[in-house]
Amino acid sequence: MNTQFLFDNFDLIAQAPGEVAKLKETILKLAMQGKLVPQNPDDEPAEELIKRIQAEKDKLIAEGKLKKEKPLSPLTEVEKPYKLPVGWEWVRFANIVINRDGERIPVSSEERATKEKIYDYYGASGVIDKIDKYLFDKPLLLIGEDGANLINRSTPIAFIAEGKYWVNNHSHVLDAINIDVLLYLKNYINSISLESYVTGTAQPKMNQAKMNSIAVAFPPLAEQIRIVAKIDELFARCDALENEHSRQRERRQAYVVSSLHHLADAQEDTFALFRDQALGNLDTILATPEDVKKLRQAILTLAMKGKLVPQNSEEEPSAELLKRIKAEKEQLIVEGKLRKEKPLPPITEEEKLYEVPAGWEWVRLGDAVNVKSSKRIYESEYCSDGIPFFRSKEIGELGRGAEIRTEIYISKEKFESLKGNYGVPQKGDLLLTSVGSIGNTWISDGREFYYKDGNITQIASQETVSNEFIQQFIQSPDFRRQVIDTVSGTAYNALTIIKINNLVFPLPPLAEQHRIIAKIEELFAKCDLLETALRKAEKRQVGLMESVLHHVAAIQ
Amino acid sequence: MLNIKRMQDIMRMDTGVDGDAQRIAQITWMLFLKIFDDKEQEYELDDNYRSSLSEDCRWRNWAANDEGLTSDELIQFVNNTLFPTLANLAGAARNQQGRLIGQIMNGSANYMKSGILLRQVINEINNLDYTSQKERHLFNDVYETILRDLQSAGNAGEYYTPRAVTQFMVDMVDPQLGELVFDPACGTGGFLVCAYEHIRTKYVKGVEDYTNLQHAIRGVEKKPLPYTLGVTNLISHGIEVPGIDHDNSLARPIKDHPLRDKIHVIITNPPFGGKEEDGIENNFPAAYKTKETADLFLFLITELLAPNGRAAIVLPDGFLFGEGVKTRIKEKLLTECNLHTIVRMPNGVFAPYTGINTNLLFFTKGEATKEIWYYEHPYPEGYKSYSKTKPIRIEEFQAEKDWWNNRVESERAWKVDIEQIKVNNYNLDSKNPNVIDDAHRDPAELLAEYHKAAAAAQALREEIKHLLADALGGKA
Repeated sequence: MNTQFLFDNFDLIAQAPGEVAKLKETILKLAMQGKLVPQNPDDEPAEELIKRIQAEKDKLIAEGKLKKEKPLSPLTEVEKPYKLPVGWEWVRFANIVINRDGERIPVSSEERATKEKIYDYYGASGVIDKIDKYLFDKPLLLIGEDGANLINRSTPIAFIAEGKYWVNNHSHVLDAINIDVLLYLKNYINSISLESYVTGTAQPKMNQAKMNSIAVAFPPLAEQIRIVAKIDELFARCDALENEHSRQRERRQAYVVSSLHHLADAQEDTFALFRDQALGNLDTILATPEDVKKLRQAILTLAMKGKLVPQNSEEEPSAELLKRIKAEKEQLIVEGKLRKEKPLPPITEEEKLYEVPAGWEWVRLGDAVNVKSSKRIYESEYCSDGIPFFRSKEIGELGRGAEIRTEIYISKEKFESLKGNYGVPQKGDLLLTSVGSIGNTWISDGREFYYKDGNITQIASQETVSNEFIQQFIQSPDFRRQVIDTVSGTAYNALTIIKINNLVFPLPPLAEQHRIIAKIEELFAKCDLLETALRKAEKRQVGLMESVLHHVAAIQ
Repeated sequence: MLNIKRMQDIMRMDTGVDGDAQRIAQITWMLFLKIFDDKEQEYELDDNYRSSLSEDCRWRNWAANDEGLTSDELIQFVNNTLFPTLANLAGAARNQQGRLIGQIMNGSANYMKSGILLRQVINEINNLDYTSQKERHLFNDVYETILRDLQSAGNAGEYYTPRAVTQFMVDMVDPQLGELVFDPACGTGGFLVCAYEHIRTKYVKGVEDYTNLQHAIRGVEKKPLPYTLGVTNLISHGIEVPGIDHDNSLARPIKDHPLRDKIHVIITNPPFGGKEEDGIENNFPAAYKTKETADLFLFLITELLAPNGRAAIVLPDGFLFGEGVKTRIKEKLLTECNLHTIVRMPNGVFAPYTGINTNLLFFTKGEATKEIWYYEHPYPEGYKSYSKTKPIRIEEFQAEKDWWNNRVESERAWKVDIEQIKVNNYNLDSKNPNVIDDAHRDPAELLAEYHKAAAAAQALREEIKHLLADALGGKA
């Protein structure tokens, strides 16, 4: 792969989620191969620098300031993963640093609590507390000694501590002959995998001996300084890019929310304006899978306002429909098949959320449909085989189209007796979860089952009002809003039958209900496909970014 | 035919039986006695057959008559005559069959308090006509259901290995006629029945073969309920006197174990995560002392196998990467046996009993391991995990079977050299190196895939735009 590929597709790659972390990783890798800044043949070779470091260490040992170190085995060829530029050297970590681990002192948190909080107290990943005294007073390189970060590297494992500070025994403390070497080593350690120097998986640890053995690609001092400066410069650009991207994402999000809100809630006079604006920018509005979820909600709101399909004045208006429903109910009461109930209060003007089209009516659910629940099934009646018994969990899963795992059954005999005496759910009946996670729905496909009373309510299928329409109403923001108003403030988060009966919803003529359902289904099917396609594209984009950056930094 | 559910429903009314586990235990010993009685009718065709049971304790004489003993009389008979008499056989019987019955009744109990309800359950069991070929066939299915129900009855699931896994392991080890097959922790006998059926259908040619096979299946189970289920399981598959002992395989010193170096085939799923009681570890050499049940079993297996003996064993990931005593046991295993294959199973094979990752280890005693082949078993297309309703199926193992005798590295299969394993201090937890992550794929290929996906999304956006414009009366 050539780098041209990177630049040809840079916008795509640089906008993939997680791009900045990967870019930084790549920059470090390139830097440590000598590819980030040009070499200068006039620089003093690293070999000389290593000699000077050794001389300095010998002096410290002679003065008794540094313990004599065990000689390290020379680096094998296997330990040198790539060819270095002229002037660089492979060297073991211990040979170029001055270890100051011996000066660290851990202080328990109980003891720290009794101290005055003045100086930084460092642990494996940075400052974790303050303390009254300090151990070090010059910039030093700290490297986490233990913890999961050695493996997952969610924060930089190597970092510079500055000022006057204390370090506990979870970070190695390292000095060098000058700060520039420390800064280079910080970047070097952060660029490589430490897995081969770590022992233990549950409690990862990089002990001093393992750290000392790390193979370091060591450039001439002058080049180290140039590399660090370049890394800092590029990292600053990366951070700027990240800020820019997150601002851009946030602004677009805000635009999506606002534009769909205005479309869904537009008044008659502004509707055309917001509609044309949204349609004109739909590519921007539908950029991520989450956007598609928002569009579905907007579609439902529009559907409930009669905006999704045209009205037909020839059709029987809802008012007539309601009269028929009322007459049927009264007939059933006369026949003794239905109990007479207190009439529901008339709908107030405040309850009408918006103006409905001609032929529609605002109705209380209880006046349009028959809401009921099941007979109680006691736990002692549960079986491990027989007729499936559904709770909220199963209804939720069925509603999402997921495969269910029936856990509870009732006996066939019990089911038959319920069927004979009270009736059981029929094909087309709507089941609604009404406690806890309220508002999951499933329309029965005619299978034999029974369900838990109280947790689930049932709306019998009927000819006058489409249960599919009720189902879409329940998914719509209008329903959510009412439920929040109805349920909030009660100790027990439940939508009782009485509360459901009192919910108001906009009832279109019967034929229009069916047209609305068909339109929603058509649009939602496309939405599902788009959501899948967007997820796939996003996954490919991330894959592409990772692949390109991996190849750019790959060792030839 | 049997209606297990109805039996359980009847038992729910009894104040003495508490919970699914006890209900299953109650059904288990009753079924055993019933099936044994039905089988005895067959055995009696041989004039030399002598029942180990006294006349009053035979099912046909106290239970078979639907209108026979009931209420208090029945309870008194069961508690004061049937149980003491039969349990006594454990020590007093003159033959192995009698001792087997004694062992089973010793480990069982009558939980029911109502003689009337007990009679109802007995009558349900009497619906099973075990002498009928058809019913017998159906019974094996019912039996599977009971075994599976054990999974939901508390921790009893530890005795149950999914049938697909059992079948695969037996198929690969391929026990032969004339070989002694052993499961030191046999549970309900799943591996033993599978091995028995494998040899019977593939290799048994005549009556003599059949008689020999009867004695070639051996097992040990520590806990009474699975023990009884296991014995019944084997009897129902045609073994007259199942060679299963109610014992702890680990409870005797290794060096004078009667089966040491004698077993040709061991297939087992030892209990893992368990700890053995104090003293058990003293049966093992000092360097291998541990309380970990699975580790001790592995050690035991390497000792019991005859030269060239073959083993297949289910073990958790923890064994593969474990250190300390585990390292020494692995070193012993790899030195004395050829651990040629490790099949790494995905999560959830034993769901819902345990979610831990498991492995199937296949090895042969007598030569040191030179390399280990790994095979990573994938979920079937569209599965995210296994569950009670979506269990692992034998068809899934076809890929492994095809690969078994014709091994090549692939996205699923890889091999590791013994030197590498030694360098890693016998860590056998080798990750699949052949899975290609996106970073290592060709960028140009990924770019093409991205453009395709993006174009698909764009086309859909256009469609939605037109649909909406159409519905809302605007222009797309």
